[in-house]
Amino acid sequence: MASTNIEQALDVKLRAQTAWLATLTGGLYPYSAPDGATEPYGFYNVISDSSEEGSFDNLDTGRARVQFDFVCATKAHKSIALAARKYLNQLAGWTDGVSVTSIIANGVRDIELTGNAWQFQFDVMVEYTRV
Amino acid sequence: MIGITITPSHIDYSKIIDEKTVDKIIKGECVILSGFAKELVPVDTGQLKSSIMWATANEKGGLNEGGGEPTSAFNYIDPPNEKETGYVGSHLEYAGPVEYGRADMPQYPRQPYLRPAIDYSKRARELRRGTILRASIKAAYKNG
Repeated sequence: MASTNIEQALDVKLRAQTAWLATLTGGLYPYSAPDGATEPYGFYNVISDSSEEGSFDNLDTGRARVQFDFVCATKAHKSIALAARKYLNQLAGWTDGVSVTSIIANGVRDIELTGNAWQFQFDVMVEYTRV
Repeated sequence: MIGITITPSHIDYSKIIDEKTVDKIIKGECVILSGFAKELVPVDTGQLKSSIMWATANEKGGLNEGGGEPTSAFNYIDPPNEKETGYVGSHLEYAGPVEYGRADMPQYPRQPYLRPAIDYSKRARELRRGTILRASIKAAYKNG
């Protein structure tokens, strides 16, 4: 079934990377991870999504900022976030319910958490049209 | 602590506008951005809202404006050293965790306010593009 919103479309695309998904043993969740999720796990949510009807000829178009978080036991697991960022950066022109016009992911922020864990965050800016 | 620097690269046609006009536009962008951030920031005591401020090389404002528990004057952000540069942000320690979220700080669940403000003010800037273009053409004729 085709995706109905941008976060669903990004989720579908990430989960299709089966080798990458296998490294994220704690799972990938929308909005936030459940209590007790085991590291490494990831979650994502939309930070802003301004509609752009006025700028794009009344097409149902959006410009979303989506934040991805990966909570890991070691700094070496940053590779999970970097791989996700790489996949997402390649989505321009891809269509699945929404058509991605352009996408760019910014740099990964490293946060050293208390209790010997790491959190890696990055934002994805994506322009899209619902098809 | 969290913040964003605004430079002429954010302003359309900045290369053909005189420095004074660019400074004015950047100050305007700072005021609008800090206003959006104050509207979007989550409020408990209001201290975080009060702490959001803006600064250019010559002026600053926003601290303890807009209601809420006042924050210390120590939370004034330093003005940027360069001309034609603006800064919007907060010096409070938990300003960053509230914006980005931290798995080890559940007391500050992620409630983004600055990045949505950046996105909305960018959209508003696009709508003001005509006004900026007119000012730029006027300035270019005046200087040429």
